[in-house]
Amino acid sequence: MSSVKYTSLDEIQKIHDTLEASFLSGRMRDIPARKHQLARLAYMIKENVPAICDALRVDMNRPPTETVLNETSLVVGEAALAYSKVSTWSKDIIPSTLLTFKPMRPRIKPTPKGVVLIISPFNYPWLLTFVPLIGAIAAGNTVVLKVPETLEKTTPLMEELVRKYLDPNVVRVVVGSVQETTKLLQLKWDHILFTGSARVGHIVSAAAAKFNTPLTLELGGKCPVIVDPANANYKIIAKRILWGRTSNAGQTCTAPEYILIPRHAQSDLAKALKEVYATFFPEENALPHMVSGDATKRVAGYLERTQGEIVAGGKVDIADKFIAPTVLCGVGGDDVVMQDEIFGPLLSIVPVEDLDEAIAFINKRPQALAIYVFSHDDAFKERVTRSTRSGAIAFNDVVMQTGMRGLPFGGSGASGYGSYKGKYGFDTFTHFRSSMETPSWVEPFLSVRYPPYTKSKEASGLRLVDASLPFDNQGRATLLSKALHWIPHAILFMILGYILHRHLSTIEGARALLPF
Amino acid sequence: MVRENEEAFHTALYEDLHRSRVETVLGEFSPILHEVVETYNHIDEWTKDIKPPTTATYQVMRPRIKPSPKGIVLIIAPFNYPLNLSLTPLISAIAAGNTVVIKFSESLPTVSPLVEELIAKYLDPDVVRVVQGAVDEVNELLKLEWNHIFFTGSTKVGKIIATAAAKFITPVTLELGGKCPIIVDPRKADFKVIARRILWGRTSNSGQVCVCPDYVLIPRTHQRQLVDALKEVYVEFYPGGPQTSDSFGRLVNSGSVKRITGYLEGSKGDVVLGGLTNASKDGDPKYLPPTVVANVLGDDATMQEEMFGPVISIVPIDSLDDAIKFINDRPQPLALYVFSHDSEFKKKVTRSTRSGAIDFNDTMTHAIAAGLAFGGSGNSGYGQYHGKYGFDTFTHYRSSLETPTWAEAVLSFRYPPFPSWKLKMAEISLLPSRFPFDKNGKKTLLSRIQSFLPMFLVIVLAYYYRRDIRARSPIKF
Repeated sequence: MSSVKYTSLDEIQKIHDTLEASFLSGRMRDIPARKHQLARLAYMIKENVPAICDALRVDMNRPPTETVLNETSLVVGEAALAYSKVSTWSKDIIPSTLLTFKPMRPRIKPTPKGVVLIISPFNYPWLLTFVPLIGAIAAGNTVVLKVPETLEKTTPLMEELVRKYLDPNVVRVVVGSVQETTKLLQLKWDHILFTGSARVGHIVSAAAAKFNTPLTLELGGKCPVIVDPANANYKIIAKRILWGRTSNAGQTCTAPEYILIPRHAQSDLAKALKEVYATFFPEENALPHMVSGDATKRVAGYLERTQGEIVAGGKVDIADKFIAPTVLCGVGGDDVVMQDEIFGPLLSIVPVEDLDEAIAFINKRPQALAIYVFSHDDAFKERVTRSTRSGAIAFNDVVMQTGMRGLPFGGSGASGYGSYKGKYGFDTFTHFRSSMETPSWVEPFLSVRYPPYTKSKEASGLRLVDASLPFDNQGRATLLSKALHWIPHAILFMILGYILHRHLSTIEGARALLPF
Repeated sequence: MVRENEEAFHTALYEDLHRSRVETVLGEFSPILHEVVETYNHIDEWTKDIKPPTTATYQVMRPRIKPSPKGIVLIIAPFNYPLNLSLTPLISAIAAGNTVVIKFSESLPTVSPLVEELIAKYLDPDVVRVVQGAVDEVNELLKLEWNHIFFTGSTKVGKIIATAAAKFITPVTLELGGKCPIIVDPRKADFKVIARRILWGRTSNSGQVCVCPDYVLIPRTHQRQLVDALKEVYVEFYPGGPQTSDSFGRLVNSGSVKRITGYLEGSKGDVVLGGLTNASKDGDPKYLPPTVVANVLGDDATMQEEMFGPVISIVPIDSLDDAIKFINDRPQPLALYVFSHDSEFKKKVTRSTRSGAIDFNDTMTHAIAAGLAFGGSGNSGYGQYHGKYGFDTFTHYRSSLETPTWAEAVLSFRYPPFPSWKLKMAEISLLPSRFPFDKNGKKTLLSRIQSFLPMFLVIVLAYYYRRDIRARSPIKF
């Protein structure tokens, strides 16, 4: 049982009400206020890296290098990006629209949604709490963070740092388990971003439905890898996959769970994995552990009941919450390790006949957060891309899309919906409020819309808003529309040609062009 | 399909909703056709892989975002603008590459079968199919797994849809309703123009538009002026009276009439225009005249639910702050309308309220303007469509990257084991030594100089270069 102190239910209600009032007071509307919080968040992480790494080492035996590579540097980078971009992102958008509507000043105003709730899991507590927070603050909302409660050292550290660095009228932390989360879900939020298991995802979305609250769900799934044996460099493939699977003791939602490879190439891959295993893990005590005894028992159970063959690893120490990174060979589609997301350091190799069978295998199962394809053949890669659906698809590597600057992070199908990171985070927590302004002088033109509707009004109204279709009824572009498309280019060409002609026909003219 | 069957649609809509032709052109055909043209013209651009801006180090891993269809989607359309509210999202769903099932309203005995017949005739049955029905059929549909559900309708049913979708983790777009308020600033107001725009908004489609203005907040001192202006405009619109006018619609069914009659009977306001006594029901059971109720209080019977009929309430208030509080005490509306010429006034309302959209000095226009995002916020729904927003709604943006083999030399840094030098190197290379901002969020002097530097250098270089050219050239120019 964790010794972490939970927030009381009364306190939770108070926190919600405080943040709602704070939002309505308009304090986060101004960009400088948002930038202030983003800057403080950046310093919050940067100034406390040793404490953060230390806490995670105690909680999960995670090597500090992993924490720096996979968590702190990404949060800091996102905070700095949001700081520099928030002004641009929150500017009114002038949409492209018909000429007839232009006098009515169409605008789309990015507006904060209100008070939002972010629920984050234990596996990457800093990344999965603070990157969404960055999006929410940049968008101008006030935020409640329901942080993971099972990390003895990290949870109190998060609470303390948020209290110290961020404005309590803008960001508050709630710690708790089922009871506290249930209480949170009974309140009305303007957006909920949930990262966690599908089971709890269902509960969150059912609760959100009562208030018509928009949601972002970042769930999980079993991420498959497809390996194309043609020209394969098994050493590199093995390194990349094993790294992805074993980081954080396998507790990564985008980690590769199983590998689909033609039967004849299975042993090559298994051999490469064994070799890489030896170089990665010369000593056990540097390895990250599972987060809890229950998690360890669950994964140990899979290991006991699997029909696959262990080619590397296999050691289990329940008392120490330790499962050694393990590679299983010859795993079948209905094996116990192929049922739920493992969320532990077990990697299964599932032999198949060919690419067709691999694709069918993937499509029979719920959509995952990512599909990984190792191949040098463009046709192979294209085929997988077109025939499957997943949150993301990466080629010749794993997991990197989660942290990569510029790419949205989100799932599809059973792995969730919505996405965040960078501008996508800002958009997630923003309501794009459309706006028009009708000046008085357009009244004569508008009169066509007022009753009584005479035949002449019908005709002139039609003329104002009618659309000429640039295609025939089979969908082919009409000759006229093709011609119209090229006319501006043709005119520009002629003007340019004329200018050049004038200049080049005299020495002086030519010299004038020289410095450029 | 739309263009070739305009006559048939006009007739059917007149039959079911007594809708005038101009309204159908402005509110249905025009938006649909513009949506098609816009989508057709831009689809190549929208479906291209996106190259996101990223850091130099990540560039080598070819990050791309691939717009991908979600799969099979369900569109549930309401009765009030049956073509616009079904075909416009259909256009976006098809553009995004999905297959679509549309469920039409059961309250339109002529229009719904007509659209079904035409869709079967014009569109590929492997891509688009129609389902007709009411509550039972919708419940059956909701038992199946969809990759997106697009629902336009009432808040009550919206909750049922969202709850059902939760079981399959299905993303949902909810275009709901609410009571759209108008705030009138009487200073320099041209009450005739305001009255015309308000009455047009309220009486279109016999008041059955989700973005119809529902009630007006105006200072007590000017209520009379607005009412007088509305009376004048009423006569302008319907010289022979609304019941005999071909320009005024009907409510969709007798249930609606009963509901609104109930509001009017229970109202404590003053009926200054139209009203129940002026409704002659003989042979015209779905008719309710355009009605204006003045001196309405916040807890009046007409102020409880969305009216969805041709009745507008005028709520006198004493100040702008009162008006803003009145609005904020209620669920967020789909649209908010502000009549004012004072930019401070307009800014204050914009900043202090939340709504799906906000229009100034007019009503309903944002719904028809192609290019704007159309959607609600809070209780009026979430998600948006029209134009690219529609395409985005039905698209999954699939992130992708490709790591080259040669990058292994650099990437191997990330692999275990992790001796302490790796930690030091990671900290040095990945964590910035200083930020371009201080702890209070202000840009540092150093970063200001740094951002100005490139421009400064260009100017200096250009100056010296030009000076050089002039000195060397024999020709004076």
